[in-house]
Amino acid sequence: MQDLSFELWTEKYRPRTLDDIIDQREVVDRLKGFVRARSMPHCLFAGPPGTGKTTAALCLARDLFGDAFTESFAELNASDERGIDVIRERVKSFARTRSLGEIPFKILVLDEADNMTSDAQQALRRTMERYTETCRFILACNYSSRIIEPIQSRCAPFRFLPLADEDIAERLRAVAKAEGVELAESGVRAILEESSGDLRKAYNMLQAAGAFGKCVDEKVIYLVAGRVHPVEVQEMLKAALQGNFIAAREKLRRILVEYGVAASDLVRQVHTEVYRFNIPENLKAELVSRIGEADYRISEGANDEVQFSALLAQLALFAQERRGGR
Amino acid sequence: MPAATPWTEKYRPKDSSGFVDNEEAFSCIRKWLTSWKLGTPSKRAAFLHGPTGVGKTLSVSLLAGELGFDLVEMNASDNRTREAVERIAGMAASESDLRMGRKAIMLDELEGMSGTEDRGGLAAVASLVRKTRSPVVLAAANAWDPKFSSLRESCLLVEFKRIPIRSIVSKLREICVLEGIAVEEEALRVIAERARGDLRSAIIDLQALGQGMSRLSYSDVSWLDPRDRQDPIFDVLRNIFNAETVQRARNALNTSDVDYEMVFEWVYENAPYQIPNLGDLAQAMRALSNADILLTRARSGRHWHLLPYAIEEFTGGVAVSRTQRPRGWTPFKFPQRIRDMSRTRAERAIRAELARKLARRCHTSTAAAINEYLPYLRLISRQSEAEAERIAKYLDLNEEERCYLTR
Repeated sequence: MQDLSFELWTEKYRPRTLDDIIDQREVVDRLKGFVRARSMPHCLFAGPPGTGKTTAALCLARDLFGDAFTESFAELNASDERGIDVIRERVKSFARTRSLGEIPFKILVLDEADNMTSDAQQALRRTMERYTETCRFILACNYSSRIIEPIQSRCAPFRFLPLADEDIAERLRAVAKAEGVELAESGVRAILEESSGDLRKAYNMLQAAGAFGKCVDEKVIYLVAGRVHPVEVQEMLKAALQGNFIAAREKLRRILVEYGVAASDLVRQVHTEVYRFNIPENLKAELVSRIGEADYRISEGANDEVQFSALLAQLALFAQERRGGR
Repeated sequence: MPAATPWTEKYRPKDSSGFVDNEEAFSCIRKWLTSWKLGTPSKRAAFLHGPTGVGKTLSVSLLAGELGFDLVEMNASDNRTREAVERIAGMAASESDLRMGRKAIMLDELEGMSGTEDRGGLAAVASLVRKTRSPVVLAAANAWDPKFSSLRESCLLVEFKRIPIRSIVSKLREICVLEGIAVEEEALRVIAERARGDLRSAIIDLQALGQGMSRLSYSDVSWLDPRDRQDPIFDVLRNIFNAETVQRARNALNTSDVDYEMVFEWVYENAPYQIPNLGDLAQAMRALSNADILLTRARSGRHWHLLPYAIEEFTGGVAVSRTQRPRGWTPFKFPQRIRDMSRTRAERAIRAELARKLARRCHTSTAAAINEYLPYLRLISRQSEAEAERIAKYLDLNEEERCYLTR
């Protein structure tokens, strides 16, 4: 923290070469084989967030291309590019020119590929075939099952597992030491609990906690977690459970508009809270099914606020039934 | 008076001196009603016609009071079958001779009477008009509707016109003074213009916007876009929430010029205020969420054939879920989402650009940048100004984006 310039620790401590990567042993070993052979197939990296998919792709490319890295490697994010046409154009212009180095192909990482519709994936498959001589694709996704069969069969599959708590803990201690942050054991445990195997989240929490300028213990971590996940979420649910729908909808609006929380995240948070709600057990299953439906609708492009409002009204009603009201 | 009293009631003129516009129509009715004191005139019924909210009902009730008639009213919310009309007619024919206090009968919102639900209702009205021994007043927006052709001939036609903007403004100003609201002239003009000659809806709008405020400025009302309310949306909303069948609720929308997406926003905003029972509300919100996904599918896949289902869900589905009304008068609220859209548009643009810069740095999507990185960066920035400065440099942020971090 004494440095004069700022850097995100997720970037600062991101491994530069495959040798630096400590986790995902099997994945890394196979990738190193590609480097030795100076060749690789299209790849499919599947696994939860923060388990090193992007890092592995970056390291592989650096190890393969060396100095030619910058012109031979590109990243595209499927959820940021509007439509398959844009992706196709970008691929075309990227793959058209030959790589300058000794390696005869370039690498293109397509992140969040499972966010593409199956139509878009079909189109992507043709693009992959067309440029296969000059460009190798690494598709990164959370769930390989969301990638269509024909693409899966053309890719070498790699599974990224959630990092072991001990590995994350070790990394956190090392970073804290390097950054001059005092990190208590209770702080480590709290980070592990909050980040559930997601190293990116763990680093971000540690860095934000470090900015408070005191010993990072569990209190500081929960403070950070509370600020990051707006208290409004709890307040919103509380208002709904008390039957005050109008107040709950007000909170919902703040969460979505002012905090800019993504609806998909909010769905997940509400889902994990369901079992703590004071509503009849038999209604919890019903509520979960409604949450699932809302989740699906939002992913289809429905309005997040309207869908959530319907959930909140349902929750308010269920809670009322628990209290024995009408 | 309690705060929930509609201003249209609270500021209703107490006697005929308070009736300012449509003077010609007013004196015409007065002359005709007075003539009943001397015997049955040749035209036993008066047919008042003109747009809503210009004083048709008001003029009759003021004049009835002044000239000593008991006014018997029947309007759209009553069930007007042949039997119902005949019951009233019988009352009018028999009692009027026996007592000094005479009755006058008013059948309001006549256009609502037709078709299957008011079987034979219009025929009964025609017969009432021929036989009555008490004055009968009919009212409808359009007297030239073919279904009124036979009625028209036996009635004295009295036309009511839209209220001029100048008049509406002065009435609204008077109300503001009495309510203690300091109001900008320009704000009153906006409300008056939107009302399109409908004084009642202007007063309702004023109450919705101004009740409980100490001042009302142009910016408080400027977001009222006249395009949104060619056919006053409040009427459409009232008809939707009060409808007893899905069909009627749907027709409330389909017979208006209001954009259906706009109506959706208004219904969504107002449902929790108009539907006090939680069970009803949960059902209504479910109907709205179903409408929302149907609209999404209609738009995204150009499946416009889905539109009618969506409309029936957010009009009829909401209407029939209501088994209880709110206590007291509940004004309609302007949709927050539409207000937010313009207010936060700038902010969202800043956030999007910031997220793009962050995403590039972190090899991730803008969505992940917003959710996984931005909250932490904001937390750090708020801890120290110096850190905020360094982060701004790291991400090459402009001044606006830097402010967003520390806000």
